[in-house]
Amino acid sequence: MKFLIRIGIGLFALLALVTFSFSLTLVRNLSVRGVPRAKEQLEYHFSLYLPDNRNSFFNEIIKGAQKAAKERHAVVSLHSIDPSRYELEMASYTGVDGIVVCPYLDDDIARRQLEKIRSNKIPLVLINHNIPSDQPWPYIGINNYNVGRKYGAAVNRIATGPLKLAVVYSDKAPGMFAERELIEIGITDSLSGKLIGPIMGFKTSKNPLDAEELIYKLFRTNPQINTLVFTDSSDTIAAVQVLIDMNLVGRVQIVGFGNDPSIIEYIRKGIIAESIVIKADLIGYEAIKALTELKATGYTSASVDTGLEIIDGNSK
Amino acid sequence: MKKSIGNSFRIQLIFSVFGVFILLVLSTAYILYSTIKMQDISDNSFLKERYIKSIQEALTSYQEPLLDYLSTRSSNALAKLLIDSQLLRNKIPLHISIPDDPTELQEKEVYSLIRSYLDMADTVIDQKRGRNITGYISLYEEMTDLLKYINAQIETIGTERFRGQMDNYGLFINDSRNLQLLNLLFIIFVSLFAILMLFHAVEKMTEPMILLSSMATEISAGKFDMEDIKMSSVYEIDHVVEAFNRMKNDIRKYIEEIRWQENIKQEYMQERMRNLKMEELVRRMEIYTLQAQMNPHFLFNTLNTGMQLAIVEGADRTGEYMEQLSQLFRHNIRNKESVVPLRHEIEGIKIYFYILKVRFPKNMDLTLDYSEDLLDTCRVPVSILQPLVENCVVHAFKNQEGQGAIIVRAQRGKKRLILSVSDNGCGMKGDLVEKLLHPLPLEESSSRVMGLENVIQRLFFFYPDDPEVISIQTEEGKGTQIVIRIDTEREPCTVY
Repeated sequence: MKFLIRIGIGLFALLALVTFSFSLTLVRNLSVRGVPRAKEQLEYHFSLYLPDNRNSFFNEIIKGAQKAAKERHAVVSLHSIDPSRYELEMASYTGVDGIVVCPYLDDDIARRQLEKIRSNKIPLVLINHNIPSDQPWPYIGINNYNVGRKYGAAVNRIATGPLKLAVVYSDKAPGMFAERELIEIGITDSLSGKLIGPIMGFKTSKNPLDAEELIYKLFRTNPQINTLVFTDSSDTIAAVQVLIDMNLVGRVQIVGFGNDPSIIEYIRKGIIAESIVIKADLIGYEAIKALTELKATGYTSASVDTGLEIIDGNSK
Repeated sequence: MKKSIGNSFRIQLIFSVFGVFILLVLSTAYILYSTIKMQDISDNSFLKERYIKSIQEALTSYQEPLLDYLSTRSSNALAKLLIDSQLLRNKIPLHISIPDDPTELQEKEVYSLIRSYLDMADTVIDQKRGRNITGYISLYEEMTDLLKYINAQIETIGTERFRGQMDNYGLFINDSRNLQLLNLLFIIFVSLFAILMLFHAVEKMTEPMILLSSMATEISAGKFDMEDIKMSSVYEIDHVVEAFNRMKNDIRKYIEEIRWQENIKQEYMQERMRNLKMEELVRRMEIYTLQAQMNPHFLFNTLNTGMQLAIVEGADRTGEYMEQLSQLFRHNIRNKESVVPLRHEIEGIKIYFYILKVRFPKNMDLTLDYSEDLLDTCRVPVSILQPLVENCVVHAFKNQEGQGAIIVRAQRGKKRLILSVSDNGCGMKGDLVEKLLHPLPLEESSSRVMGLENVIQRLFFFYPDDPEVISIQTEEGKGTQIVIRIDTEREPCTVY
């Protein structure tokens, strides 16, 4: 009996200690959960203003910007350039250290808002689409004339005869639509006498499936078109489905946009001839880098061409 | 054990009870603490929302005096405006380090927007004062847009935070359930621990009492040879235990003393009884002796007359026989000592042998073998050899024909004088030997004791602790040898 009591005392003391320590640990964990952990001291807060539709292109820009910010002890907050949301309008009051803007189509509104930011002496960098100004802002992105030439070269490689070419622009890639003339000049310069008619231009909305309807209509009304050029990856994928459905694979050549896994798979199958890839992450990265330079020294490059690449069946 | 505060029964009892009480109180206090902590954590998760909402409300209420002032230039409205503006500025954190969480970044931007809004309000007031109508109207419009944007941002932050809390809520509920379960187990284990501790303390105090009770029962049954009860750590109980142990040991000592006295008394009684037996034996001896001395003078005179008559008549051999017979009677009667020199016994045997040779001239060989140096150095009880020889003559050759032989020897052993009387007679039966060597107590035996039996009893009387003093070797038809071994280094016991 005495021995049992001693064993019981030891056992229950041990169990009580164990449950007590578990309980204490749980209380501590609960307390700590809400408390922010000690982090590195961040130096800059930058804002990145992008269109609302977050396709892979813009996601890559964000990824690149965040990578650059992390390397430079900075942080990036994301905002919309949609005028109805007033975010860019109010950007100059947010107290950020710098702003990256991918401007929307209406240059006048954009210019006014950008000027307002400039008047508040907030460093500003434009990406993807440049806004003409007396005092131009630093620009990071591609030269759309060069993009047009690349498209033309790609079409030239796959062309077997006279070309009837259509370019499908999109609200999802406003930068390219805004400088469509430059793109088309580049294509025309590259193809010279192979075009049997003027380049036709079409535009899809922000709806990623909009391209399907557009392509159906296009081939009903313009069956002579034998080459399609896209400026958005979602449109490229949607159009391929239509070509397969209408049994136009082989008769109509596609030069796509982007490097989504589906597009790469279509290139491997020979449905898409080639695809233009803009290094979007590099745009985001270079934009933050330029802002950091502006904050630190007050100067940065006026323009940085991040370049592009072409993916075809031979690409790895 | 010395008395101290620590080993006092009262203090130990108080410590045990209060220890358990304090343990339970502390456990309950911890459970209360953890519950309050959990409530605080839950409450804190809404703290930031309440704070930013309060700023939003203050900002909204700020609009009214602003519009009032811009419309009426009321000094009251201006005063209120200035106070509200200051309160709002004080409410907003002056400096926020740059966070990396998107919602907190948004919150940081909101505080900056509010500060800009208040700065714009100051500008509007200045423009109103300066009658810059176009300026303050357009600025007020911009302020209105900014306020809408601020409200939208606060709503977004609230929504984001709520979404985050929804994710955390499941974890929180799960953790709080686990915590409550652990606390329940904790209080159960602590309670069981406390109860067992109390049991232990009570047992520690009551165990010596139970032992005392058990030992008291044993003592009442007459068992005093138990070990002492061990001391506990309680002074008062140890005091009782010590007294009890002392009492037990004292009683045991008294009882042992009484037993010892009882033993002495019994020994005394046995000794007395033995003495009585001895007296009886002596009395019988005396009777035997008296019988043997019956009318000795008459016998001497008669024998002398007979001896003179034989001399007168010229019967020399008869005269010699009568003379030897007379010497034998004299020899037996003359000595009153109980222990005599061996010489006395040997001389008596020599006379007795002469008479026997006259009686049995042809069919009896009598041999006496002894060493001369033993005769005066050794002492033996009186009349121990002649009765043995007489016993041989009377019983050994009964109904037996042929030559009889009796040999009496006296020789020295290692420590003993060895006397033996042997014959080649008919021998004795085993049960007779046993009866002779283990005689019945005097009170059970008859008063008529034969010679051999008398010698055996006297030898056992003189040498009570020596069972080897006499032995009988016999075989039916072949003879008997009776051996007496007398320890020469030891005096015979003659005191009774």
